[in-house]
Amino acid sequence: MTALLKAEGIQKSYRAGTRELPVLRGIDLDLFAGEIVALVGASGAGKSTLLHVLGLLDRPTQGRVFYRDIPVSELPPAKQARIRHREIGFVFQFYHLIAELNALQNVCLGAMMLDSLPQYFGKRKKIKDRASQLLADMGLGDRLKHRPSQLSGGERQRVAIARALISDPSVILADEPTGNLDSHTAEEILDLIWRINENDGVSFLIVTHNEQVAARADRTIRLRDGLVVPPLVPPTPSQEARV
Amino acid sequence: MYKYFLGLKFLLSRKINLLGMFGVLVAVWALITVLSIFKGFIREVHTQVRGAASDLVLIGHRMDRSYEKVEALLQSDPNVRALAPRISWFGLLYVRGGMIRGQYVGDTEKGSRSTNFFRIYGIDFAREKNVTGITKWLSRVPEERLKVADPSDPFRVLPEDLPKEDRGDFGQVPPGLLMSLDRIGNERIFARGRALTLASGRRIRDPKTGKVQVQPIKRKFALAGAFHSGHYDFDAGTLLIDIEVMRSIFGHDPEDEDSLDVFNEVAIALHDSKSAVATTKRLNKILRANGISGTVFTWQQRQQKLLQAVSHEQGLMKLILFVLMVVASVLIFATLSMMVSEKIRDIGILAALGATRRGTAMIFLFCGMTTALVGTVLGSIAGYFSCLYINPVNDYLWTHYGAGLFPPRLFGLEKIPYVLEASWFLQVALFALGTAFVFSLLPALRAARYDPVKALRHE
Amino acid sequence: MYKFFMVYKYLLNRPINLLGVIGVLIATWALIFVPSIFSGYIVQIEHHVRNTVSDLSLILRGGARPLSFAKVAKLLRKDSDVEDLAPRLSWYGMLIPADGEAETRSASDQDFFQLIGIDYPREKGRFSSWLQAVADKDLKAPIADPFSHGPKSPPKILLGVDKAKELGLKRGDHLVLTTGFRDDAEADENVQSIVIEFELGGCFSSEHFAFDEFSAFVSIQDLRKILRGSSPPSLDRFNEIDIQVKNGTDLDRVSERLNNLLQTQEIPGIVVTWKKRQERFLQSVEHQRFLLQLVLAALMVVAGFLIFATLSMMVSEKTKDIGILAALGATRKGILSIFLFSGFTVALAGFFLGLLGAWLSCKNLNAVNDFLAEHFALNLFPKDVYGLKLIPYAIDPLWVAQVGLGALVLAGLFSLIPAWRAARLDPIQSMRAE
Repeated sequence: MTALLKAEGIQKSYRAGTRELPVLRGIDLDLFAGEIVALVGASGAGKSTLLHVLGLLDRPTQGRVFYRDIPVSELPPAKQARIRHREIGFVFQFYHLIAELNALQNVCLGAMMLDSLPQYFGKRKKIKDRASQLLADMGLGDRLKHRPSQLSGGERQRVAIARALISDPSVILADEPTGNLDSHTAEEILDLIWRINENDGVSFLIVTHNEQVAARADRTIRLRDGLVVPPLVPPTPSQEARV
Repeated sequence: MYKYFLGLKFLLSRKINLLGMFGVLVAVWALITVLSIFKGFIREVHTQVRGAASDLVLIGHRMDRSYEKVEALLQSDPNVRALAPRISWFGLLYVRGGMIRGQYVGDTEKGSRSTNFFRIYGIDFAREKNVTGITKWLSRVPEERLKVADPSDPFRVLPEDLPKEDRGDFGQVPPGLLMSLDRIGNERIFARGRALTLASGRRIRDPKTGKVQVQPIKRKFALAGAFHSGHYDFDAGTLLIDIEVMRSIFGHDPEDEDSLDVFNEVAIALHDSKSAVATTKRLNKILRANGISGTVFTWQQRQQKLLQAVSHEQGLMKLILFVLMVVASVLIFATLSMMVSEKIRDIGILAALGATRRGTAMIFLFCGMTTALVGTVLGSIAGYFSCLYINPVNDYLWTHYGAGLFPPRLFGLEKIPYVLEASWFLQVALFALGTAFVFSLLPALRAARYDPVKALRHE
Repeated sequence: MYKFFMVYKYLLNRPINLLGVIGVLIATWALIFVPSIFSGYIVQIEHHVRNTVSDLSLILRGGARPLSFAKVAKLLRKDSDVEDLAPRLSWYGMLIPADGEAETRSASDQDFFQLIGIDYPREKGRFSSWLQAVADKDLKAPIADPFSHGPKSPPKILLGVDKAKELGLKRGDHLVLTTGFRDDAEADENVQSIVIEFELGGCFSSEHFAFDEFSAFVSIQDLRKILRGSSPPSLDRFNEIDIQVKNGTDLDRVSERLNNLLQTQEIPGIVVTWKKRQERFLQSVEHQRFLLQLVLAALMVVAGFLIFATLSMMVSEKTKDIGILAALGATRKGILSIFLFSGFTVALAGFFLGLLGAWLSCKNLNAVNDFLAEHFALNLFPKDVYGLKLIPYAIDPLWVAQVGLGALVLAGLFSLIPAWRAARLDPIQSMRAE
């Protein structure tokens, strides 16, 4: 069974002045369809960086990223953008919503980013309906016209998740999705994530430093100093990737 | 498409963009208003200067009797519509009665002249009216006492207009002479019928010495009326008489058939004035080939210095307005850059959502162009109405405050001239949008090239 | 104090300051460049127009009986503001070809001239500069005494340099003019037409094309002789007087007084100011001036916007720094003064750079114009007008100072106000502010 998302020998260094700072030193990683994987490690270990590389937002200094066996890290930026738009969803710690758009518009943005004028008019109604539905499912049915500044942290994150979902991605990369939320709200969000994973089969790669989140996940990948720490314990049957 | 929606939202959320729009508004307003008024000025100058001229003129011809031949040669060109022979000479004008003060020079301060020397044109009215606007010159005279008695025969003097002592025993009248309104000024002594003496000279060659001499001649005339071509330089120094009379001054017997051909200038009207220069070249070639003296010029060539001065000013004006547009565009650049800087995180978000670099650039470019477009439209409207209302405003200021935007009776006109052309509005709009585009590119590209990862991390 | 210095250094290293400098630079450049080239042009025209006439002119009514200059001059000198008087005899003549052939060489009215008889020693001051302006040595007139000629040789005449070139004449060539005059004011029977032969004594250039093309100068003594007829030979005839007045006098008032004086003696003439005399030319200058004011007003508004935009951009970037500065121990007053100071520095730097840019633009406008003409056939400024070799510019120091002051005031205002508002905030808040 092939992995949905695969990283092979990923290295990433940053330039600070004249020096090179290696952040990722050679990562191999698989993400399979329908699974929830936690990416843990201390801060500075390179978790976010790896997430960005996997999400094609950043280019690895060395190594390749595969999406359904296609070496996407070598594609031209325009094609990568397409893949990023259709297949990959992002959720961030600070929500990253567009302040000038309301909840509904923010979600629609996720689907209409690349549409041209005629396409826009064709799909508009359909997308709006779907966005409304998604938000309603998350209990935000009466908040459709609210701007981010009028929403609580939890509500914003839900909008962000809805935005990530609207284009029917096969994988969602989440960078500390509950990092900015109080424990109660965080629980709600995690429940939401798991519910989506169950209902729609979307894979999640969640970066977190919270061990409890990691415990809930199907698998945990640990990063330390830019490398994957091999697991001490062989995976149990319940942690095996679902087909 | 959502991009443009996004761009619009960005624009509307930042009040600073209003500033950029106002900048373009002001610049476009100035461009349209200033240049429309300036074009009005240019058109006025052209009209005035053109007012006294024919399309082309053959000058410098040796005074001889070859008009019929020359006429045939000139007429052979397909672009020549009509011709009129002239004799151009000089003369001194005296008011009969020999007043000590001899006040026949215009009394207005600026028209003061200290001599009575004039250029005299002997014209053939029937033909002249086909090549110049002389009919209009005559009709522009407002005062009854100065209008010609018979517009179809302007040199005609009616016996009833003459004082008794000037009428001949058999009702003969002296030949008529036309003088310009500018020259008459408000001299009361000039009225239709006023007796005048024209003194001139006839060029003869002394048979003994072979040297050229000028034999003085005097003729009595009566003022047949006034004319006004609008071109001051022409009007102030010109008198018009009938070409036959002129010929007789030169001693040509009116009974002699050949004498009808005496001339030294030909005024030429064309069918298509746009190809005037090409026509002059052709005509000059024909003349040269046939050994005819004189050269054909267009009216622009004759007024070259003046026209060049005007176009120099126009160049200057355009340069200045270009500078203004540049400043307005830099303002757009600044406000757009500002917006980009404030939206760096959003750039990252868009990238994460799958936006291409080009797409991101387009969003910001769209912002810049929309700002410029709104400013252009509003500025054009403002410019249009400014021109429309410039005269009422100017008049109001003069009546209520004794001082206004423009000096009164500028160029002798009642109103400040302006020219509103649709093509000009279009040019300005394209220019404004074009400059805005160029200056919006840089911030837009900066937005596009921003590293999405860095952008997401941005505060 | 070291704190201040440290903090200041920190602020100055930020590239965002460049934006503020650029804003002020562009604003300054435009505001100085535009009026400089336009004023230069207008000033030049006015100068030319002004230069061809004197402060005031007495113009006798045409056809009046010839009067003696000395007598009228004595009368005019009664007015204390009159400084100098010079007689002129202004007449007209038509050029005729000596041998009866007339070949046109130019398009303009080549045959009519205004003959101006001047008293050279009296007018030398102004006139000699016109003679010196002629570079062509075949056409240059001797400055000391351009009109002197032997008793047997024809009188000397001076033509405009372009006109002489058009006619293909050189110094020493002969030309023939014809004119006429009435010998006796009483009877109009006695009209004389005469042919006068002149020798071209040289050329002049006043740079006012309308004047140069139609004017010819002769010595007033020669012209008096030519037009004498039966008048007494000793009559110092004139029909115009150039009147120079004392510096700073109100020309309109003086002309009024002199006109009253003339009326008391029943002298048939009128005194006009140079402005009235050149009204036609000056009107178009007035017109242009207004248009320039309009452009300048628009420019000032847009430039003001630009300074505002760039400076507030600069300041908003720095707002976060307020918290850091406060943490470093700066007082509120200290913070404000830093912002004010940086605003001024930016404005000053932008102003001087803009001034330099404007100056360079003015100087190199000719080069740019030539370049465009050569490579793109785009003759933006036809230079043959008025014999203008260069596109004139005139940078007015007073205006420059005003622009500088304006830039500083605006910069100060636009950096101070937002900074003051930000300084009122809690340092922590400002650090968090976007």
